[in-house]
Amino acid sequence: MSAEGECSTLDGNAAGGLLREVFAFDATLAPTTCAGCGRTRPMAELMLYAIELGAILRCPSCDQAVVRIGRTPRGLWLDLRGATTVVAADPATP
Amino acid sequence: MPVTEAALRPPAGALPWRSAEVVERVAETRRATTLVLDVPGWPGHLAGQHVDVRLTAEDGYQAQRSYSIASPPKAPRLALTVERLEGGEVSPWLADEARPGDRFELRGPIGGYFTWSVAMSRPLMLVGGGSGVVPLMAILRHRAASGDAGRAVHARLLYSARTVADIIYHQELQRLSAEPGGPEVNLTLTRERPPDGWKGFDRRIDVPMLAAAGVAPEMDPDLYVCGPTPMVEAVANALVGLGHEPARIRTERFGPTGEG
Repeated sequence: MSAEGECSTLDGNAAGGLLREVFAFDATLAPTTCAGCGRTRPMAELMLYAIELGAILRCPSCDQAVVRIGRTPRGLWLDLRGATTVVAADPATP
Repeated sequence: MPVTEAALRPPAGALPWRSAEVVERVAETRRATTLVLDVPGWPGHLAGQHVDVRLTAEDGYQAQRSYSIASPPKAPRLALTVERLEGGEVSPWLADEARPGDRFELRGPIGGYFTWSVAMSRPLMLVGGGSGVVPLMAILRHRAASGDAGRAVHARLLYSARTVADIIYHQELQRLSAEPGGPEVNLTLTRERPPDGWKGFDRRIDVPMLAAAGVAPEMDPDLYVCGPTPMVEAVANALVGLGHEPARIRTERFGPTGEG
């Protein structure tokens, strides 16, 4: 994978480094339920937009912004209103 | 410890930025270059993982991108294969300018989703487009380095490139596929009439190609698809249509570069 561009279509894999700044577990593996359509998939399978000043991870089924992370002078800003649940999956049982 | 100092510490999961020194550069194609790196303190990685690379300009401006790791776990040096994207902020420097002795920052390994270990042992189907072959190569190198356990894993690669000259790792793939127990490698060209004697395909990956060159759903394979977004979407949908379990299909998409 190589990621370039302001708003390229990538997926949650490319946000793995940023997600590690927010979560103490590998959130790319975390089953995440979309508040828009109720589908559950690991964050790696969400669509990634705008990695420069943070990230928006959208549901590939309904386009709901599931995870939003902003990098601000005061720290990282996390908005999970688009996610009903995020499960910190055991890496041993993907 | 003073509260202020504790507050500045990164959370438990955050990865530190490390200094990487270029040890060697290998021209793979006219647009892709492999950088072999010395990264003190590198903790090791799984096949399929990536790193974040951060370049800092003299005025302090920083640009950050993700690149797949090409080297297998346990390799003595970390290797990245970078495709130059015109107008990019990071890849032109990495692919064209970086020379042995140059340094940059990286953090990793990142991502537990698009990873494979020989211990998974199920048949393996890899589908790559363009530089999407890089993490798949790390998987095949891990398999090749795993002796009998690797050879016991039935493996097939279907790799789509624009032209023969754009095929990354072409010689290594030919060599691996010729070895006893080596992976079956199928190539397809999307923008060039194949040369005489070409044994591969000459169109974009489609359902009949996946049916012919893929691992049958009855063999219960693990599937990995990496490439430009439209190709990944098309291949993943086709694989589901052929009867593969969606949960077994791992996907990794990358940006505006296109192989097709």
